[in-house]
This record gives sequence, C-alpha cells and structure tokens, in this order.
Amino acid sequence: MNTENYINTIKELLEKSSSQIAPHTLESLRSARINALEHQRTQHSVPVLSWLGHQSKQHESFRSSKSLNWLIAALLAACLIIVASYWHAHVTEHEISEVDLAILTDDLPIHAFLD
Amino acid sequence: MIHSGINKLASRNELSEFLASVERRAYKQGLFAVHDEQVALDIVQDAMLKLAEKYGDKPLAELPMLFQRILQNTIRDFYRRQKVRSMWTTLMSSLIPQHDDSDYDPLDTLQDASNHSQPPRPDASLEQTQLLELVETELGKLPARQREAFLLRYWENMDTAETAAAMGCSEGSVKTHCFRATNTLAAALRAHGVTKS
Amino acid sequence: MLRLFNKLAVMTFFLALACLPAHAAAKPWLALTPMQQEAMAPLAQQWNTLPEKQQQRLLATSKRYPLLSPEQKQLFLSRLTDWSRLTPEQRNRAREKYKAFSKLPADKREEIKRKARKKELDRMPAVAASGVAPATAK
Repeated sequence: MNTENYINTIKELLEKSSSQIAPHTLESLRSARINALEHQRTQHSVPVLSWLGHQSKQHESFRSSKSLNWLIAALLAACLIIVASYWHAHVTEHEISEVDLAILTDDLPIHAFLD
Repeated sequence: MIHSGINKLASRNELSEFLASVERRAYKQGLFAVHDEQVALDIVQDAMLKLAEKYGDKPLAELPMLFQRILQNTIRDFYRRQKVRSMWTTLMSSLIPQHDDSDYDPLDTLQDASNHSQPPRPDASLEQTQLLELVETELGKLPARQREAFLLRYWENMDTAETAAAMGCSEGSVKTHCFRATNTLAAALRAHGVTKS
Repeated sequence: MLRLFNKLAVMTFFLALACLPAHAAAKPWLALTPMQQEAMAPLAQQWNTLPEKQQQRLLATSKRYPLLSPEQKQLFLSRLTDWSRLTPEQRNRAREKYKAFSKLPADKREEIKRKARKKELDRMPAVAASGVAPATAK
C-alpha cells in the first residue's frame, strides 16, 4: 500500500533524527533517567521515599520539640486565662466601686434599694 | 513491543532499560509538540519521574503503555502552560527547533542566512536532511491527537489496543487519527517530490 | 525563632502568676492615708474587723471622696455605717437594683424620687417638720 511505504519512510527518518540528538541533550536525558530510578516505587517503599529521607533528620528533633511546644502553648494559654480573668475582675471591681459611690451619694436612701 | 508473560514487578534494571530505550523518542515527541528543547526535556524528566514513582512496581509489560499515557498528559500540561504564541511564531518556530527563547522572532534567523541554528547532521545526505526537516515540521503542525496516535502506533510500535489505552480513547478513534495523520504526512512528502510506488 | 518564642511564653507565664496575689492584704486602720481615714471615719471602730474584700471595696469608693461636694460628703458619711452593716448579698442586690434604676428615663426616676421623699416624710413626721432628714437630700 502506498501509504504504508510512506509510513516506513517516515519511521526511518524519525529513527535517524533520534540518533542525531545533541550530546548535551542526551546527557540531560540520562540524568533524568537516573533521577527517576532513584524514586522508583517498589513493594517495600513508600512514595516520596527520598523526600522522607531528607526530612528524617529534621523530623527527629521536631518530634521532641513538638511535645515541648505543646507544653509551652498550654502554659501560654494558662497565663492568658489568668491575665484575662484578672482584667475582668479589675473591670468588675471598678464598676462596683462606681455603683457603691452612687448609692452612697444618691438622692434616694439606701433602703430604697433593699428588699 | 515486549509481550512478556512475566507479571513480576519491574526491577530497577528493567525500569532502567525501558527508560533508556524510550527516552529519545519521548524527547522528540515533546519537541514536536512544544517546539522548545528545554521544555521538551522538562517534559521527559517529569514523565519519567511520574512513571517511576507511581508505577515503578508494575510489571514490565505494562510500562510502555503507562509511560506513553503519562507522557501525553505531561505534554498536554506543558503545552497549555506555554504562552500563547503568535501564528507567525508557531508556524516558523517549527523550522528552527533549537531556540528556546519564546520572545525570539524566527524571522531573524530566516533573514540571517549565515546563522544556521541546526546542528550539523554528520552522516545524512542533503536530501535526507531536507526530508527529515519536512517530516518534523509536518508532525509539529498536526493536531495533537493525530500526532500522538501516529507516533504511538508507528514509532513506539504499539498496537491499536495499547495506543487506545495510552491515549484514553477508543480504538476506532485511534484508527481515525492515524488515518488522517498518515494522509497529511504522505501528501506533504508527495508534494516535496517523494514518490512511492 | 521558636526558642525565643518559648522564652517569651515562659516569662509571660511567670509574670501572670505574679499578678495573682494582686489583692492587697487586709489593711489595718493605721495603715490608711489621712484622706482614707476621713472618708472611712464612721467605720474607724470596726475597721480592723472588716473582711479584706469589704475593706478593698470601701477604699475604692473613698478614692473619689475628696472630689465630692460637702453635701455629698455628708450623705456619704451618713450612709456608710448602714451600708457596711448589710450582708454582702444585700449589697449585691442593692447594686443590681441601682443599676436597673439608673437605666430608667429621667422623668421616671424623678417620679420615684418624689414618692420616696414623700414616704420618708410620712414616716418621720417629727423629723421632717424640723427640717432634718439625714437620709434624704432635698
């Protein structure tokens, strides 16, 4: 078939072109291949294994500091609560002293406000 | 085409050999699609990595189809990310595949006769060189699906079923794409004076 | 960066702890300032027996005592003893009632005051007649 012959010609030409790739490009392709192999997923590996490998060193120190961070966060929360309650009490006391003074100096007698 | 009945997982060696066997054609496929050396390299690197990471434990027999599927998808991703090029740049840049400067006007090279950016092709006759340039240009101008189908069938030597799996379409579509691609390429060659009995 | 944050957090914690015993201890009468003693004069006898919290609240009101008018000072001093004799719960309820009262519109408040004055006068006719009404202003 006519077309088939054309296909063969094209195939030959393509084969030729792929054999004429520049050396530096071939080198890049080779590096890409090796890099991919290092990330090969096998039965016993987890994906992104090498990423984990890089992170493992950081991970260890991170794990022990993680519990420390929780402790610090808890302390911080505790002192925030303490400060907040202290402030709240302060504000309340201020209000109370104002009302007390008003009662003690108002036109109405105290027993107007009693049961 | 390796029809291996062995279903054991591909070893590192087997994967290595497979990638080595396919990397040049993969690079060329990328080049036809994006007309950019560096981007084509990135595409191949990406595809190889994805294959190894996700399917590195698959049987060797499945790797060609899987790789081609990944490759086509990666090409599509990169192609979409490229800046929209003017028609002029798109048409002309396929004549000058070595340049990766997207602002570069191919007219400069065309007008500058002494500046041949093509690498010397050591053992090719002039006619072959011209033919090759023609084929590469024409392949670059094909619609993506037609080019994919053609290259997978006739360069990667996949059968219709495998090509369909790699492209994610029906076998009928594969045949149609191939048919059209072949006709276009044959017509171009014929117009150039290549006759086949 | 994280170490610095940790240090700050611990410091803040201890600072907060230091805030806790912010309530002053019970103050003996002799520890009061002259102005405080003037404001608390009616309570001089029993001052040292008063609970800490009550002393604190009384001293808080005495802060504004110097700023009162003479009439208001009179009122203040005259009510202090009765006020200090109430139970803490009574004082709390009184405070709630006063807050509600002060939220009323001005005319309503005037009406209540008129009524209270009338009541007062009715209760103590002899005192009213003589013009001396220690628990009420004009």
